[in-house]
Amino acid sequence: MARDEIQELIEPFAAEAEEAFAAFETALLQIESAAGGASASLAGLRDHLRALHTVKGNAGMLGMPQLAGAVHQLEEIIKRGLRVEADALGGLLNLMDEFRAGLAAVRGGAEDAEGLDVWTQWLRGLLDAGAEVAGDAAAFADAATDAAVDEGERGERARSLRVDAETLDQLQREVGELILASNALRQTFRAHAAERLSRGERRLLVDAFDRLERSVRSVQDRTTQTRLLGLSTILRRVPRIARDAAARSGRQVQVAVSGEAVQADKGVVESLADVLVHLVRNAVDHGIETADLREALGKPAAGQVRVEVLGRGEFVVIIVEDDGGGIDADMVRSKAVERGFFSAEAAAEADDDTVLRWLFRAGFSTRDATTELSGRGVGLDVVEQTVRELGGSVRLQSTRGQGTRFELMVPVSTAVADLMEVEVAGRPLFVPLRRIVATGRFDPEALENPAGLPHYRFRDELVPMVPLARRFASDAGEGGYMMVLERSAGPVCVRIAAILGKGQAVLHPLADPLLRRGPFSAATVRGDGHVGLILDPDRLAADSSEATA
Amino acid sequence: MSRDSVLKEAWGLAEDLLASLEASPAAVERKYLVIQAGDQQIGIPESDIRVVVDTPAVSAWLSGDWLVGVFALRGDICALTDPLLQRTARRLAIVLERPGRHVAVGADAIVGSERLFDGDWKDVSGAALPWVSRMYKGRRRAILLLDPGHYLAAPGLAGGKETSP
Repeated sequence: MARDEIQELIEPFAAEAEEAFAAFETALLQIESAAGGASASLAGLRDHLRALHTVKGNAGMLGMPQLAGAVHQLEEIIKRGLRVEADALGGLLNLMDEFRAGLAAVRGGAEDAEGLDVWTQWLRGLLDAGAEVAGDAAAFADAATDAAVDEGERGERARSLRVDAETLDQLQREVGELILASNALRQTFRAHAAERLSRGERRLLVDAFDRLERSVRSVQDRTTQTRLLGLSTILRRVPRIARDAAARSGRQVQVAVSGEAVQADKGVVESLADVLVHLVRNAVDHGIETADLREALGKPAAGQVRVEVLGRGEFVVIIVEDDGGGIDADMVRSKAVERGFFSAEAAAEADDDTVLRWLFRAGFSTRDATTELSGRGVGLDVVEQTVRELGGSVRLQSTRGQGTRFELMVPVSTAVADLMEVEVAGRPLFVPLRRIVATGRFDPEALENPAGLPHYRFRDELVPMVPLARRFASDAGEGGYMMVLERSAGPVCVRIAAILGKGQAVLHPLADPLLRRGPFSAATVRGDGHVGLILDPDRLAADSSEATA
Repeated sequence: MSRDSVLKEAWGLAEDLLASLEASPAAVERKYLVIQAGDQQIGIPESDIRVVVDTPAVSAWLSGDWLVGVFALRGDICALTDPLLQRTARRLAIVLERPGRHVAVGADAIVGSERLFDGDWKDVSGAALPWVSRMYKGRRRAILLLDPGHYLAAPGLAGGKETSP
């Protein structure tokens, strides 16, 4: 096969192989956990033979003898149902890392997963050492297994089709264009053509528009469905991450994961992967105490880390919870003062919930030295930023001595949202409906200026005001309506001139240089082709000292 | 166009060509799209251009910012900039090819596509436009080099801090 032909097949092959190795790894972790440090039989891994066999076959076909050879030896070990020691289980987990690294290299242009020959030798040694062979090994004669595997594979391939992710992204963009064109058609008809047509002609056209819109919506729904991925794709990494973190930090940890069947848009799932890695490592490294300490405190030696995913309508909730030592709010206070984030007075006055939110500030860490585990990669500030960019929120609760709980709430899809269209400084602006706490007529008597800063009295609370109209036009007057919006730093009030309507719209993410220079996180395209900017309350000036009502 | 003006134009171009040959050492030759914005000619490396379009419907951006506005192009939301920093929406939008950025440079017209040597560009300092650091000077005209990296990093155009022109 020519190299360019092979290159086209690499991505689907690597994706399929990654899935197979990830599923194998999950099963391996379950075996290791059940064995509790003793030897264990690998007979329970036979369900994975089909997937491994496919990887081996494809690797061979694509000219990767090292990868095919290593997978072949692994297959042999599974077929024999060997009983192996704990360190061999650890070795097999490391082999999964090697496979992943090999696939990354192949994706990057390498011809084979180099360096696997050593592992093939290691696997052969494991096989030669023999150990105990499970009694039903004979049932797994090579020919029979291979035939069954090939048959099953053919059946599965006939039912599903692998589609390149970029194709799906492109499809989604095209559907957005289709909605835009459909809206523009109807708008043009209403504005210019409707009055020139007879009643019968108008009815025909309106019916045609209705049918077109229904079809476009249906295509949009199906496109959205096509992009949904099970959260299992990232959740299955959790046990391994926790295991490795525990091994390196000398903790004992038990992990419970649930909600793998919950689905979200591919982009959402991909964005959450690093967030989840960080929170799980954080839970093990900073949350769970050492076994000795836990026992002295009357807790089980092994700490519990629970990752739960729940589907709640248009949202997905991800909970990462541990039963460790919790966060010491006083230590956060003292570090905040020491690092110059807050004055001693401000730190002393802040309640514990406020203090915990300081952990999401960029550059804030309560550890003097970063640990090998969670001190690298993304920090809590990036966790929050990622979730915010997805249009979600993060809640942190912690009880000293009892543990810490992160609750992330993100939309299932960032492609479509319910928006309210409002007028500010003579131009339309969109606000996500779920961020609107209240709208109403602006009451000048509710305006107060504590310490010279404008606030709006709303439900017996003083809410800081941000002058939105003047950001669009320096001479614009503020409107006669007010809108209270939810944001992570607490509610904020803005004035608007009018409410123009509400509806569902296709979202387009903003890229630099737009993203970093205005209070917007996304945009939509209106029927007339103009861009409608979508306000992100979290990007409104947090410092109300800039505000003038 | 009269015969004289055609000859005059051809003579001017020949002079420019001679000037570039005299000035250029044996260096890398690149293709530039030369655009007209106001009374300035600006050269953009063609390899940095994604597409040239008639400027679509532009929505206003915030006040006190150098961006002219935003427009939609095949699902991407592009920032429209005015190279002369006058916040003018010009007839054409030259959409730059920059990873992770959707930015267009406004132009009144396309002058043409020209091959120029790296050595043709001379360093300039104290230019009125903050993104200009190199310029080509023929006998009859000057072309400002719009290097997208410099352009987007210039004060006011770079993200983050908003600066009034």
